[in-house]
Parts: sequence; C-alpha cells; structure tokens
Amino acid sequence: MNAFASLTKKELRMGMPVFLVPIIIFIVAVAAAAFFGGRSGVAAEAIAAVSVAAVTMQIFYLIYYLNFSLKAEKKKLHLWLHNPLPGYSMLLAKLSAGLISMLATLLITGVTLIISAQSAGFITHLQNDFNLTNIGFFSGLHVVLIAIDLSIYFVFFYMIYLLFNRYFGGFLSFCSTFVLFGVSTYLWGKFSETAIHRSLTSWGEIELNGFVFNRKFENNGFEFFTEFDTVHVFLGSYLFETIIVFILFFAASWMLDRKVEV
Amino acid sequence: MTDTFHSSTPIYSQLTERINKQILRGELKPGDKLPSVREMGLKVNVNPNTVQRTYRELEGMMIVESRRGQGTFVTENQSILQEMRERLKQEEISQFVASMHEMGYDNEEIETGLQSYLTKDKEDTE
Amino acid sequence: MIELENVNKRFMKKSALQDVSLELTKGKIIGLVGENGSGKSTTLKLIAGLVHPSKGSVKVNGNPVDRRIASQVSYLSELDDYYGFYNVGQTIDFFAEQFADFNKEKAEEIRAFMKLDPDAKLKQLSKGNRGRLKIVLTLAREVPVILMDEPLSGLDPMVRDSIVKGLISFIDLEHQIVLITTHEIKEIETILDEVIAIRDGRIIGHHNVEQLRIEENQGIVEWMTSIYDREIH
Repeated sequence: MNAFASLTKKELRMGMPVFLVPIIIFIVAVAAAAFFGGRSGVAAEAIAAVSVAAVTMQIFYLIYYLNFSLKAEKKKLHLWLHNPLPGYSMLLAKLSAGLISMLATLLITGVTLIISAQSAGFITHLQNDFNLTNIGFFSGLHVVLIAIDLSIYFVFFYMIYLLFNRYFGGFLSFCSTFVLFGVSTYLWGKFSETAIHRSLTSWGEIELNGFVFNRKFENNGFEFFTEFDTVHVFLGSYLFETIIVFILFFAASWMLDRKVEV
Repeated sequence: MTDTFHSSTPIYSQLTERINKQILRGELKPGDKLPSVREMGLKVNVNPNTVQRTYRELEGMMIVESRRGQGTFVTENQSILQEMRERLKQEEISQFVASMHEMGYDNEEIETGLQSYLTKDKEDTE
Repeated sequence: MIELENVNKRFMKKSALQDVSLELTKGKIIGLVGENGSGKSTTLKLIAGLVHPSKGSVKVNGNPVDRRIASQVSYLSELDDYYGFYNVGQTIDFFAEQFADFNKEKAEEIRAFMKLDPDAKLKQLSKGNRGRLKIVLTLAREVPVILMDEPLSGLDPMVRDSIVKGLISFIDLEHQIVLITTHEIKEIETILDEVIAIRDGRIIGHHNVEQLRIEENQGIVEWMTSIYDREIH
C-alpha cells in the first residue's frame, strides 16, 4: 500500500468513533420519530422530517470530523508531523477519510429520507408540483460542496490556531483564532458587497428552466411562477469559491510544513 | 568479560588489554577466531567503532590478523605471542616498581620483599 | 551531515538555544548531555524540522530542514504515544508504509530481539515495552540520521540494557549518524564516539570520548562535572 493510502486508512480508523456517533444518534432519532409520529399516524412524515434535518446538518459534517481528527493529532504532533509526506497529502488524507465517512452517512440519511418520503402522504402532492429528483440531486450535491468548502476554511483557521499555540496557551489561542475568524468574516462580508466581488462572481450565468416545478404553467397569469421556476447558477461564483478554497488549502499546507511546531 | 571499564583510560586500550590477557590465559588460543566487531560490541557493551579500533590496534601489534571475508584470528606465530607475554610482564613489573619507588622503597627492599613474599606464597600453597 | 549555524531558538520570552553551531559527521554515535531544560530536546527537534530556528540555519545533508526532512531523519521522541487502535504489529506495518526506507525484516529482527509481542495492544503496553517499540520503529529505518530523545529515561535497568544492546546491534555505523540525548550518561558512556555538553542553551564542550580519556584521563561524567564547575566559577 502506498503511503497516502495507508495514511488515509489510519485516518479512517482513527475517525471510526466520530463516524459511528452521528449514525447512532440518527438511528435513535428515527426510532423516536417513528414512535411519537406513529401515535398520531404520521410516522413516515416524522421520519422524513428528521432525515431532512439530518441531511441538512451534514454541511457541518466535515468540520465536525476534522475537528476531532486534528484535535487527536494535536496531542501527539511529534508523531503526526514526523512524516515525509507533503502537508497537502496529510491534510488530504484527513479530508478523504472525512468525505468517505460523510458519503456513507449521507447515503444512510438520504435513503431513509427517500423511503420515508415515498410512504408519506404528502409526497404525492409534492410530486405533482415539484421535480423532486432535480431538487434532491441539487441539494445533495450542494450539501457535499458546502461541507468541503467549510471544512477547508476550518482547516485553515485550525492551522492558525496551532501557530498561536506556540505563543499562547490553548484558551488564548482559541480566542485569538476566533477573533481573527470573526474579523475576516466581517471584512469578507464587506468585500462581497462591492462591485469588484460582483464582477468576479456574477458571470457565466446558467439558467435551469423548469428545474424546480413539475406543473406546466400557462402564460396567462402564471408569469410569477415561471420566473420562480428558473434557477440561476453563476459559474463565476463557483470558480471564485474554488480558487479561494485552493488558496486557503495550500496556505494551510504550507503552515503545516513550515510553521507549525511540536 | 562484561565487567565495566574504568573511565580514566581509553576503552579501546582497556579492551586490547583484556583480549591480550585472554590469550595469555589460553582462553583464546592461537588460530582462534575473535568475535565479529558487532558481536564483541554486544558482549562488552561497547561501540562497534571502538571494537574496530581495538582490533586494528591488535593487528598493528600483529597479535591478531584479519583474513578478508573471514574475520579476525589470533596469530599462530608463537614468537609474537611469546614476545607479547614478555612485554606484558615487563610492563607490569615496571609499573609495580615505579609505584614502589614512589612510596620511597629502594631496589634492595623491593627485591627482598618480593622474595620473601614469593617464598611465603610457596609455603602457603604447599 | 548535520549542520547547525549560529542557531537561536526562542519560545515567547524564553530563550531555548543561543548561538549554537555544530557540525556532525556520519559513522558516529554522539551523546548530547546536559541538565533538564538545557536545550537538548530542542536541538533534536530543530534537526528533525519539528521546530524552526528563530535565527541561523539547520541543514541535514546540505538541505535546509523542515518537517519533511523526516525522509532522511528518524526521530525518536521522548514521548511515547502512538495510535492506540493499532497493536504492535500494525504499528510496525503503518510505519513501514509511511517511510520508504523502513526495512521490515530488520524491524522483525529488532522486535524479536526486544521480545515484543506483535499482537500486544498499544494501550496495554508497559512503559518499558513502549520504550522498546520506539527503538524498533526508529532503528528499522535505513536512514542517514537517527535522533533519539531520552531513549533510556524512566525505564528499568533490564530495559535500558536491552536498548543499549539494540543500539549496538542494529545501528549501521557505516552509513548512519546517531544523536542521543540523555542525562543517564553511565549507561551509554561506552557506546558514545563523541559527547556534546549543553548548558542553558549553549554548547559548552564537544569532544571525542576516547580522546577525552587519553588527553584528560577523564570519563564523560568527570569531564561534565569539571566543565560545569568551571562554568559556574
């Protein structure tokens, strides 16, 4: 086995408890929903609601996973850092392990959602009105994309936290990192309102017509809905975010290789 | 062989001395193979580099000879061994005499002292 | 092979090393001795690229050092936590996969020499056996530089002896350099080629051990005592 695969395997093994806990919680929640919903005759609806919540929450899955994983390494940095692999490989091994765990969890929660939704009474109404396949695919994909996106922000700030750790204690480092995070989010928010940001992101518009609704709208009096039925996707904003994430990822790798100390 | 080394003299010379004494006592016979550098290091807890130096030293004195690819052997040349035997005796005696002189004994006192000691020693063993 | 040039290392306000210059060549076992907190560990971590100099430069085989020097350096930490979910054999396998120069047969040989059970759980390993496992993992690599931070510390005499014997048996002195920090000098005195004394972050002496005995008629302990005294007065 090559070094990267073996490292990823180690990460998976290390993340096993982190992988199992959400699944157990989900199973308990589904059981509870089935029990309490069942008493009012809406078991499937309740399970579907729990599943929607579970799927949505997974935009934070990788942060949760990496937080545990990086915290565990922080206790034995001399072991983790004493490795010839480049920083990006080491972080990528963690991300891959996280992503594998996430996809497995997503599969469980997603399949539960589909099955429960199909036996729920309201689904037929929804199916008449909405293109559920499109919506499901679009949301699922974005849960994964957003989770990756957030996780890299997290890794970047975690590396800064590790740097601060050389100078201050754990608590003060955490506070400093948090303040830095707050300030940069605020500044980034300001920046995203500027014309430059708009010109960087608002291009390559793709209109997905008839993406959301199944019902055919007549031209008479339904213009509002037709307008609503078009999803606007800007390639520019995706590309922009990808570039930012790449920069942060390599900055984090660089810090891991050159700046972080045992 | 595992007793410790004292710290005031180089280990390689202490080890050289030990091997010489083993040869004198006949624990190592002419033609015997010495342990490999690493084995010897393990046996006496000494850095292999130091053992290497010891073997070189012994080789320089022609007490051992290394045969390419086979190891290090005690020489079978009796005259060299005899010479070593004689040299060690002289060394020991000169040390003894020097320390006796240091304490203020003259040669005559040393001689008579040694003679009576050896006679007494002989009577004891008889 | 290892080169430190005017290295300073500060942690916050505390200075750990001051103006340290060293040049160490291969084929030797070198002891780095000094009191606790004198800068021994920091020196090893600098060479392993696990901390970075505040000033000056650290090079191994001519390359400036960072974390990834791990490809040329085998570092034994004074800490001994490994991944608790692996057993001894799996830990060895993991290391074998992480380091291209890891010789699994040699690891097996050292493991057997150290009488370590490959199926033993890491969590249940005694301190002595964790010390032995560290030796297996560190010495099984065919790597030019071996750094060992307090390999004997806190272990009982039996374990210490097996570790010293392990060093003699498994270090390849034709190709490797070994730098060992210790404050238990007696134990490894006879296996050291060179000794470096460090005090308050400064190097106060660097000698060939046999030369020390020839020229000063002193072993390492006596020498240390004499230079420490000289420093104080």
